[in-house]
Parts: sequence; structure tokens; C-alpha cells
Amino acid sequence: MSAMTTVWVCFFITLAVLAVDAASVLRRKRKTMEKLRTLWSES
Amino acid sequence: MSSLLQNCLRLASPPVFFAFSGKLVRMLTPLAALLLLAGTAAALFIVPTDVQQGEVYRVLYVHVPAAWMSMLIYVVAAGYALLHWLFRTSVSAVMLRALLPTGAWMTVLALVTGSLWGKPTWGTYWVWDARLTTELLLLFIYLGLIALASLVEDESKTDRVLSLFTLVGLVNIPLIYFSVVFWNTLHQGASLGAPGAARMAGEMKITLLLCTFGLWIACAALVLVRARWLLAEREQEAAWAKKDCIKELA
Repeated sequence: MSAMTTVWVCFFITLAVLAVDAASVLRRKRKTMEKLRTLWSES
Repeated sequence: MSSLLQNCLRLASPPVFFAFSGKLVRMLTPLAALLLLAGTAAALFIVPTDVQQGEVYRVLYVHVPAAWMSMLIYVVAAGYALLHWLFRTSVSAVMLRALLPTGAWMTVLALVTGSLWGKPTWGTYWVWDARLTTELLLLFIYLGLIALASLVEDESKTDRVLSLFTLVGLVNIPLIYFSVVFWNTLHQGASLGAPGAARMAGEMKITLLLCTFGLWIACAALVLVRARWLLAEREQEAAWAKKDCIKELA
């Protein structure tokens, strides 16, 4: 792997890690919102 | 000073934290995007090539911020663990839980980028060097704490145990940081600040700081969003939760 390829791969991995973490945060938010919406619509 | 302390103490109240963190996230997200974009552009296209390592040294601009972040997040998590141990507030418990996944991801990022950087500079992806081994241990600590947080149903009991184990794991942080001082390692010494640290050109230092602050703010925004919704779920029976969350549910 050339030096610049290694550098680009590292930057893409960083982007991917942030995207995966953001996706897990948004999934948690969506699940909680659905749960609360169901709970409060019943009460 | 006392009003600052009072404002900090007010953040232990779930409705205050929920409202404040919502505003903070709206400010932090564009700022993080801006800093990361500027840092990445500078790192890839503007800063000069290193005289010794050539182009590959640019990995530094993601590896070093990720490694710092992995340790900083753990220290902040330990701070919340101590607060929870002392005061048992919901906010400290959810902040502790919200910090762990992001901390684990930053540790993975530091290990993977370090490994990719190691191959062209050291000739190997991995050595059982003190710095690398203690950083890997940090990943195992994060994974253990995440598993512990999700294993037990009774949240209040788990929070106490989680706090205790987080505080115990804190001993690894000085070991990581000072591993390059305590032992003869293949890993280089401190990048900035410490006596004997490598001297960097001004534009390289500014780029490193841009990337570091960008990642720091991005992590803070992610942690705060996770913490807000963990808190809303935990406090679902409270009147404030229904009143404050209903606006965002619409």
C-alpha cells in the first residue's frame, strides 16, 4: 500500500467510525421515541 | 464563581440537563463538522510532507486525536462514575453509560490507524509494546463495561457496580500515557506539550489541534444525544419528561 493510500484509508476509517457511532446514537433515539410515544399514547 | 458552581449543580437535574444538552448539541454539531472539514483539508492538502516519514506521517492527524480521545473519554467517564458513586444522580449514570460506546470506538480507531501507520514506519502492524498493549487493554475495559451495562436488568444496581468498575479501570490511563516514559518502547514519545516532546512546525500543530477539537466536539455531541435519550427513557414516568420530550416527539 502506498503512503498516500494508507493516509486516505485512515481518514475513511475515521469517517466510518463516526458514522457508525452516529447511526447507533440515532437508532437509540428513534427506539426511545417510539417507546415513549406508545407509552404516552396509552396513558 | 459560586454562580458557575450553582449552574453546574443545576445540570444534575434531569429536565435542566435535557434542555441544556439539546441546545448544546444544536451548537456543537455544525461546529464539529466545520472543524473536522477544515482539519481534514489541511491535513491532506495543505501541511507539508514530513522530512523523515514522508507522506505517511499524515496518519498522525487522525491517530493522535483518536488516541487522546480514547483516554480523555475514559477520564470523563470516571469523573461521572465518581459523581454517581457519591450522589447517585440519574444524569451522572446516563452520562457514564453514554460515554462508553464512543470511548470504545475512539480506542478502536486509535488501534487501527496506529497499526496501519506502524506497517510502513516500523515494518509491522503490531508489536506487544507497552503503549500498544495498554491501549488494547483499554479497549477490553470499555467492552467489559459496555457488556456489564447491558447485562443486568436492574439499572440502579448496575449503575453502582458500573461506577465502581469504571473507577478501578482508571488505573490503566496513566499506564497508557506514561508507558513511553516508564518502558523502552517502539512507540514514539509524547506528540505535544511534554518535556522532550517532538517539535512540530506551526502549521502542523494548528492542523493537529483543528482535528483534535473537531473530533472532541463531535464526540461530545454524540455522547450528549445518547445521554439525552437514555435519560428520557429512564425518567419516562416523570412529569418533566412527558412535557419536554413531547415537543421532540411531534
